[in-house]
Amino acid sequence: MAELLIKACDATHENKIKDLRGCYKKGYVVVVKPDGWKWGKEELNKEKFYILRVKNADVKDLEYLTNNHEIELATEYVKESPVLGIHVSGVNKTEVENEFTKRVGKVLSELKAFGLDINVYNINEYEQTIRAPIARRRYKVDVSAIENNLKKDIVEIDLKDLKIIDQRQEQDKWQLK
Amino acid sequence: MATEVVKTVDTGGTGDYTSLTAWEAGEQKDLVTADEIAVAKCQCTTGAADTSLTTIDGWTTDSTHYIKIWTDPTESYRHDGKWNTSAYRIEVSSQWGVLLRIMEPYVRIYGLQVYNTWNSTGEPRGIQLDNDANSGGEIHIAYNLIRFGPTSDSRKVGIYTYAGFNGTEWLKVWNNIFYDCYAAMHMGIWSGVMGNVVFYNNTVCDCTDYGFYLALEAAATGDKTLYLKNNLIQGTMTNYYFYGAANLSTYDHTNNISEDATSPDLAYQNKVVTFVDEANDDFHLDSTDTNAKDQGVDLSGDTILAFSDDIDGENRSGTWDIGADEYVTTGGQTYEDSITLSSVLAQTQNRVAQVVANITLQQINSMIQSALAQMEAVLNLTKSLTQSQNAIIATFAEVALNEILTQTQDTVAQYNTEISLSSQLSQSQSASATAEAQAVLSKQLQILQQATANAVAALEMNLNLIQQQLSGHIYIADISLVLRETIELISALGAIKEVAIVTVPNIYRTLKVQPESRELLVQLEDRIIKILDKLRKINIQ
Repeated sequence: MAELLIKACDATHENKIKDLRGCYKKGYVVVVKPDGWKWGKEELNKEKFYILRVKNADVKDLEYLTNNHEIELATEYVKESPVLGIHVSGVNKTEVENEFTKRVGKVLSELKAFGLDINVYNINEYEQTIRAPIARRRYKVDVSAIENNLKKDIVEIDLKDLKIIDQRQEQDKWQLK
Repeated sequence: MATEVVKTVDTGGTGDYTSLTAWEAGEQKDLVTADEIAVAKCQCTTGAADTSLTTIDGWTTDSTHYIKIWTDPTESYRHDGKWNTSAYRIEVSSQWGVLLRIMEPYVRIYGLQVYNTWNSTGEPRGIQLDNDANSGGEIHIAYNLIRFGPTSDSRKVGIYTYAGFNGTEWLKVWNNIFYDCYAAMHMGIWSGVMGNVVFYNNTVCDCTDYGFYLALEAAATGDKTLYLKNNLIQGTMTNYYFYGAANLSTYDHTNNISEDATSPDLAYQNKVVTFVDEANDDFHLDSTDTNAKDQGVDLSGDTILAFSDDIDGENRSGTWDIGADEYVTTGGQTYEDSITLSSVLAQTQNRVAQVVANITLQQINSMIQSALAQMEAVLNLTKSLTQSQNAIIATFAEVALNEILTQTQDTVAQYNTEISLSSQLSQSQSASATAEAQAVLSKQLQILQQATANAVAALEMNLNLIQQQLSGHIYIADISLVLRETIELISALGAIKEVAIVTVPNIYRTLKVQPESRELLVQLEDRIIKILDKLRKINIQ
């Protein structure tokens, strides 16, 4: 069994993007803990949170409900040579490599003009994924049917009865114009 | 002044919340409208780690309404400069996750232990700054231990910030220890904005690639300032990496140690520092070290970030050490490592003194803030002349004046009825004393009577002024002078009262049995002279 700490009311922000990205709304799962978790005083405050005990589920089964919704924007490729003082980054790996090679050639040529013949120089290269946070939660729990009971005490339900809403249900209808 | 709303985060379940994430969910609000400072005081009464990933977002903050997440250094839940499983810690295995993501511009993180235990390929992070494009902002990250698993496969970054960093914002990072990272402090500002970065007295060890990493493209905008002082980097492939440092508008660096030749400070390159036990991740300075000990610059008066303690809360004095730990004469060791009673006592005294000083300073600061707020309120009131005059009187003088009025009225009444010097005079005349003694006593009492009459008249006049002030008929520019004078008058009358009801009857009784006695008369004269002096000082006599 697992216990879900669920937000009982909406937090809001006047900035609509920040409101979606940062504010907890009613039904959002805040944390998932094992059955019998010793909750704190404010977590037991029914004006702030509900606690739902889910049978036939482990913590690992339900942790996805606490994920912030992020999207991957791009992978950035970085190539650099601290010794030569060259740094190139971009989202196109081939372009980054080509540009880096070009710049290395230029620098080595200039150094040679100064009488410096550089044969050894280290190169660092790495990729980093650029992500943007979109929503505080993708999923939320529909507590409407059991809310009156949740306001009184911890409620126990079976996993199959847990009603989960995917807030991105309308995504397929969105089109780039 | 904003109200601090302190909630405890205890993973053992005895506090308000059991995780930092739950605290954030339960407390997020517009702190400016609420006029609050949100404080999460972190504890772990059972030694359990906080296993939640936390994002600070969805609030409204400003410079006096901020978020503070900390461990109290007076409690055992604050680490002692070395990883401590009995102290509060955030410990999560997350391949792509950020243990503490900050998306608000005014946040302070003090005294945490942060450990992303992910041990394979990925981009696990400790603290990441992704701020809104607000103007201004100030983030503090201090007294923390930030570490990762030992694998070299993943890009583990201690503090990561990039183009989300606002152009005029301040990021202040001091007295932290980082180890087993890919990069301890990583700032890649490609085409975004860079604000103001302060990196003081940090220790970075055993990082696979970088200690301090800054890549700043020419196209980046913002204030672009960097202050780098007293940092210590060891056991790292490239200790300091700067790409585009020439694009900084201000670059202030001094006394930064590197084990390789990358420190921006030439004299501090290629230095090996000796720690207490590097193999077991104890990065306190060893007593035998010579490269970091007493090699730093004193930052207690630094105009950008002034402080005078180290990661353990120990006082930095004399010539500072470089890095997060200040070696102390008892050995710079933890309590567990101290081997003598005197060293334990000395450290305890230091800690107690720190705690007392902190509490006192906090109290004083609260009082000052409160007084400043009151003064500001009063100053605003004086802008409106007639209303403000009465308001000031009411605020500052009413209670005191009522008290003084009551005392004055009582005193005057007493003189009029119980302490009539005329009756004393007539008693002395009828006493069985020599004519000479009688004459002396009479003369002294006459003087005293005159002085009393003058003092009482002055008091009555002051009384009248004060009453008119209270009723708003007149305005006295400095009512405090009138009050002070009134207090002095009451004091003088008090002395006269004592003479009249104690001293004079004593003289009377003495003269009755010892008509030749002059000693008491001399004493009386002395006392009257003192009273007259007092009255002269307030222009009565």
